[in-house]
Amino acid sequence: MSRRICIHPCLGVNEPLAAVGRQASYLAHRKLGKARADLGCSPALFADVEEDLLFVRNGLVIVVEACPHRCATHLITQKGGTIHATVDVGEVLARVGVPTDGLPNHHLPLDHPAVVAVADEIVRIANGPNG
Amino acid sequence: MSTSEFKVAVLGCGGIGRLVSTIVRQAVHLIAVDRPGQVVVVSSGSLTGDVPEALAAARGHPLLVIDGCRPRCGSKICQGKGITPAATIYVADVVARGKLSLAGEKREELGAKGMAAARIDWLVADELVSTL
Repeated sequence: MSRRICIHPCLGVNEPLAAVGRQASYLAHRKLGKARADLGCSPALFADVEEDLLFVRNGLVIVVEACPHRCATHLITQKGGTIHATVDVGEVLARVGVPTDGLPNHHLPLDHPAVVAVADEIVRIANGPNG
Repeated sequence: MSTSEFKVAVLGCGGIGRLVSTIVRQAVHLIAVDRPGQVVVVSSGSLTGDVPEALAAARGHPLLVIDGCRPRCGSKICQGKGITPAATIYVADVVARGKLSLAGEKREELGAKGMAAARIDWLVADELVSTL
């Protein structure tokens, strides 16, 4: 039986790339399905909510980071989790050619090209050889 | 735009798994947008990542915390980082007091039925500001 996927976005606020990462995590979670994937929540992990501890300690963790601070990585490591892969929102958007100028810093719809591109990358990793 | 030096920091729980997290995020956004120059938004993710600027913002201003669900993660983050909030709002209390229904709303996007959710945002914002 394959391990569950934990999609864990950084959850920054007022940052366009963090907003993209959050919405992309929702979309990737939809695409992968509840039966296979969980959404990791940094505040809950910090608060030692058991479910979230199990996500990062037992699941294949895909971290979605929006800036060099790597907050999600920092927290997951502190809580004894192991990171399987990191999706850097800025790098993905640069690679696929989605411009970041003018992205809203609060909210984007799930069909926004930036959201779709990052979600596709999360799903690609989840469906890879270790996913 | 107001540029008074006195500012209030606002920390929403910033969760992702529940609809209420989206409502908290929207409420924080409204609080800041409606009060330009008066509010510093603090990211829970940045606090858990020990980002110095976020810790300084939370410690350098009166801090209002909005907790979304039962674990009250925003408050726990403050506790863990040695930060004492000036005030705390628990959204479930606001929803219950307002007898508001969240039926049909989605965590990914507060939709058109989301007039109800928007009202909740305002109630949360108003309640939070009333604690000042």
